[in-house]
Amino acid sequence: MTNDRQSGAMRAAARVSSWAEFYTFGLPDDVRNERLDEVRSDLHEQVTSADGHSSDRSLARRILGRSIRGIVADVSWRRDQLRGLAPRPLSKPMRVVVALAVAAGVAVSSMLFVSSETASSNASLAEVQVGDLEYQVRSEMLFVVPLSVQFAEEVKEVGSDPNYTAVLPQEREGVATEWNNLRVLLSQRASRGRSWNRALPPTSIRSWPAGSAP
Amino acid sequence: MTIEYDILECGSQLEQSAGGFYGFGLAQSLADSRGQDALIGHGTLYKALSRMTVRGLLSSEWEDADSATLAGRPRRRMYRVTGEGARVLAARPAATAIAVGQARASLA
Repeated sequence: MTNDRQSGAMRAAARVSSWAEFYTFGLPDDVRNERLDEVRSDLHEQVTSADGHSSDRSLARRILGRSIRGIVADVSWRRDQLRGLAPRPLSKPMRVVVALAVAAGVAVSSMLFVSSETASSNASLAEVQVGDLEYQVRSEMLFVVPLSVQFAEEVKEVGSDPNYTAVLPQEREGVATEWNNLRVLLSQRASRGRSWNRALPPTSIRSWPAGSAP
Repeated sequence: MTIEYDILECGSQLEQSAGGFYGFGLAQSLADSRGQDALIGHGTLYKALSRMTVRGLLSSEWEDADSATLAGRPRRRMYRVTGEGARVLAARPAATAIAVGQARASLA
């Protein structure tokens, strides 16, 4: 696999890693670190084990597809961890809400454009840069909806729990930042005109406010 | 319990050949056994593994960080099927096993 072919997959993996950072935010360190390490190991294995016949774009979509298919379980797992419960299925209303959010994510990802630039083959996920405007817009849209649904459900379900109240302001700020990122990206796209491959100066996908980064 | 049975079955097979199994390898094995191209979602897989570990069907241990570094990759969390997991798999309802077998035969 060449560096060019790997870069889109690396960026997809970095986005999934970023999502994992969000849904583990505020959980006990040992729980959080174990989940992050496990997901990052999985992403590394998938990126490096891809056969030579898979295109970079195909691999990126497969990685994002796996993440999207697991979003309901991710949200459910987080809720259970916040409540200190053993993992269990989501309630039916919550499944409907999250399924709608996932459907929105799938619709966005179906339009996902992954270009082949930046990111060397040996870059860590934290070092991967996102430089393509359309990619940034769509990946932001892909994750901001389930993020917001998750946040709203948490406030509703465990908002009065002291353990959750402690992390609530930072989490609220994180969600607000993600929406602001999307607003800025959409504004940039509007000002430049619609394009499938309009390069921007590289921007880190890690965009949490200073001091509250998970 | 379908995914739990599948994990126990695939995990047992991987364990026999490699002494244990880890998330991505298991995801590949699950896809192969189901005749699917798409791998199971991260969240679905790791939530199930977490649930099964809590219930004592699986045990897990993190790989040594130094050996993983030498291999040029992040450390893996290695799983094994426990005695309780093997017992649950052996006691799987016949209807489930037959349905799974028929589904696989139709895909072959």
